[in-house]
Amino acid sequence: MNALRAIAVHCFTDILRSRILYSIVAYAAVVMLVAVLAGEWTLGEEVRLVTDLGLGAMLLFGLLLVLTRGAETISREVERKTVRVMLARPIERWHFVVGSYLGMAMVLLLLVAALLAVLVVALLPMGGSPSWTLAVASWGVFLELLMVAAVALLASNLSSPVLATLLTLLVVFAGHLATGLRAWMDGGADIEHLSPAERELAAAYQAGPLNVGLRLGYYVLPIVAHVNFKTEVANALPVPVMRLILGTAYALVYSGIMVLVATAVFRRRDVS
Amino acid sequence: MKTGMFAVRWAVVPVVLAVLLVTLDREATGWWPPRYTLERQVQASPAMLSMLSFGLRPLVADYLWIDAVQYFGHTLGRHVHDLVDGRIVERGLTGADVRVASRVFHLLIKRLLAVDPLFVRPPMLGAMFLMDPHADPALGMDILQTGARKNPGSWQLRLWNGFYSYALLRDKETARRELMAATACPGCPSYVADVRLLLETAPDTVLARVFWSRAYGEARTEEERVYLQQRLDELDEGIGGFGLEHRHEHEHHDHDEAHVAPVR
Repeated sequence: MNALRAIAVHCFTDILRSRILYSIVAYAAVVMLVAVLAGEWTLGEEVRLVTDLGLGAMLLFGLLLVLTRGAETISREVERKTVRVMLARPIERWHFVVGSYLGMAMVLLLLVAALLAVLVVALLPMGGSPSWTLAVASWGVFLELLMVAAVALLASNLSSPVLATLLTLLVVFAGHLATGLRAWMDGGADIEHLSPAERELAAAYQAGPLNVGLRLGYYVLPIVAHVNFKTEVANALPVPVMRLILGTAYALVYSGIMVLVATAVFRRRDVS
Repeated sequence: MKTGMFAVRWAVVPVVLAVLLVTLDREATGWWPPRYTLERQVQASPAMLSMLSFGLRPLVADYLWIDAVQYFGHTLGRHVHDLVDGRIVERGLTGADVRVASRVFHLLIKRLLAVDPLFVRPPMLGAMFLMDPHADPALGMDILQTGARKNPGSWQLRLWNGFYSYALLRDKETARRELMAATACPGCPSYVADVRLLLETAPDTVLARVFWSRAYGEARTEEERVYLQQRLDELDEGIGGFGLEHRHEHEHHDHDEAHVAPVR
């Protein structure tokens, strides 16, 4: 357990030593700038705009961090051969994988908390008050980043840093598209708003082999819609407690499975 | 070498600033044509926009709202405000242009509602602006009804839908039903119940004054206040009923579809 904690803390401090603070400053600048300009653009919806933009930027900065640092966690250590030094000590391989993931998770939690604080400060002069829903939406962003970090960890185990970044980006993008595609396949609520060409595409999905592939993909991809509470915060609606609990459970279980697979892959990997 | 890089870096700052200023001022300088013309081409469907929003659906809706507000400001808003202020209309719209602009504005709001049906103010304000004598009340009514249908838990949309159903369409049954539903919505203020009672008992002018005054008190922007002050002024001037009846003369049912790009 000590080994796990030591690796997690090492990973945490290592990432903090990189330029994460710059991203917080950039975030604050973007949010403040929009806060100043928003009144002119939105006809009284400046609080909503700043909240939505703040949450969007929170996700973006988190993703940037995960894609730049998370996707190279394992592969960089292997390429630099520093992993050999670590594994020469009395630690298990799974300690290394899980510890790295926990370190990244701690950084993400810190990042989201710091950005939430900046967002609240930006909202206060505009009459926006810190709400429970805003905290829940930020928690959703953190959970989404946790899932992405888990995917990045696995990708980092399978390929080089560049490929791992691309693979992670692809999986995350597909995870975002998955809910909409499924709605298309099932003839969901949005179908009424499709153009004729898009309707033909939806019909092709429903009939063809793509359907099976996409359905399988739906269960493999991180379905981020489960932890997306941004619509609720934008429209000042409460988030049902059960949805929050199930979303959290889904994200933790999905991340856990990805980390388990990453551990299994790393166990068989030749790092010499 | 270092000095060269230093100079290059600092040279970038004024260039970026210049581009920014020119971009912001592009219409005034006339360097390239204004983006907000009467005719609009809407490419992606709301369903596609939502799917590609990367989980940021409300942010896409915000963008569409800003787009609609800017369009309004450059077409109908400019026209209406110039008339309100009693100044000479330099870039005001002709009757046909108003019809096209109203139709496009209506479609922009409808597209927004398809992306985020829970967004309350676009249908509310969109309807308010389209109810203007120089716009198109029928389209305003349509936006309001669409908004209330998509977001039945919003007391604001129910209230406005109920009020306009009675004031404009003289449909007392719908008004009664909508106002009743509004009072049952979470967060509904107590004056809505008063409006419901006034609907049954008071003359139109009393009902109108209570409604417009309350709406004025809740207005967040100058544009809303201008519109609502107009309604109150009309009541003061003794224009009967809700000050809306004369608008039927301006209702246009012969929208020129050829001018409007298809919006899905």
